[in-house]
Amino acid sequence: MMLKKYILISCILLFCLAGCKKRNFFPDEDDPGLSILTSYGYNIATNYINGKPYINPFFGAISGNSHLFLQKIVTNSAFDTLSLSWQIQPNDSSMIYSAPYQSISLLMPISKSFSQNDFLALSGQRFSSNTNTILINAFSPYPTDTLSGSSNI
Amino acid sequence: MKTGMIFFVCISPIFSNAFLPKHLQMKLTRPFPIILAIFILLSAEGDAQSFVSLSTGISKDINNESRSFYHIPISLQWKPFSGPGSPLFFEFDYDIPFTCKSAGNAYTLNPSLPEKVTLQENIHPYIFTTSIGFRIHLYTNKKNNSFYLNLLSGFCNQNFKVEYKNYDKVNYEVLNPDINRNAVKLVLSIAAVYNFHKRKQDMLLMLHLQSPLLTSQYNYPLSYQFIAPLQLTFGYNLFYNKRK
Repeated sequence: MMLKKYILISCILLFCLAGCKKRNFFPDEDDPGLSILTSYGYNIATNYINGKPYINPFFGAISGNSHLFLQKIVTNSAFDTLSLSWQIQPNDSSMIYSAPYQSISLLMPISKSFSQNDFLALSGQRFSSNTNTILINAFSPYPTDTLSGSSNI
Repeated sequence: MKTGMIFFVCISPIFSNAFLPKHLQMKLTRPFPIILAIFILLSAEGDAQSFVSLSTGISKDINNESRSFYHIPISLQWKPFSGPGSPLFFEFDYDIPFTCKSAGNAYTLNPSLPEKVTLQENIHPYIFTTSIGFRIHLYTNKKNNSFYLNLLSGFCNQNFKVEYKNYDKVNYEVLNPDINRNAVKLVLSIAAVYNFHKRKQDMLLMLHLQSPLLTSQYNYPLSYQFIAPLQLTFGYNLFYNKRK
């Protein structure tokens, strides 16, 4: 009876450990504080803001890295907006308490009829310069910052 | 000799897996230690002379399937103890690498530049191994040429240096890049040594196989793995403190 109990506990532990998620952050030697560029699905987003490295947060072995937030924003103009957002935090322990930014978004103009299939069809496409924008959200004491830029998805 | 036997009996199960390609590891696990144990039983005694030997040749990696690393090995063996009861010796191997070339893709966000470029990737794997082992005498012919089996265990430093040629680091990012890796771990090795004489010179011909570093898999998927060098070397023996 005791043996069965131990086997059951071991199986549960194994199951839990098998589901553990890793940070999988591999530093880029050329860009301190950023992760190297991979296509392995590690769900790591890193960037510089004003020369400081930022990364999407890690919520532990159960939840893993914070996920990309994909949103279609309906507007009153001729186009809607596709938003790809990552929550971010400083990737530098010395600037934990002086980090004003909490998320970064890529905003793309899309047609009103834009669907999931249209999104999947974007794979491999390159958008022309300055057609998209980057939005950086700051904590309340700071103003929201909007920057224009090019993107490649 | 007893020391050698105990040492070997301990490491033989590890040998059986360490040298083999992954798909053969389980299939050949059982007969390999048995065959080597027979070698042990057949061996008579260790070499009675102290010596220093220096050899060099060519080395090919047998652990990477997608690419081959070649080196020029320089091997120094030193057997400080004389007498049949002291078969232990030390070995120092340094492998000078040939550049291993492959390709990597880099991408840019700059619309004025080509979206994708293919770069030449160069990998230089430096290997240094310090081992301790023992010699098993297998055979001596009428001309006093002898054949030995060396079994060794030691620590190996494998230092992979990766570079991308003409890499514009400002505008481009390599996708899934290989990265440098430098590790020191335990290795095991086995060598067949043929000692022969020509024009009053003591020479040797050695075929030496070393396991990859005995360590767990690295988290980041690299295009290369730790090297298992198969060396064919030729060199000279310098015997001293001879006993008859």
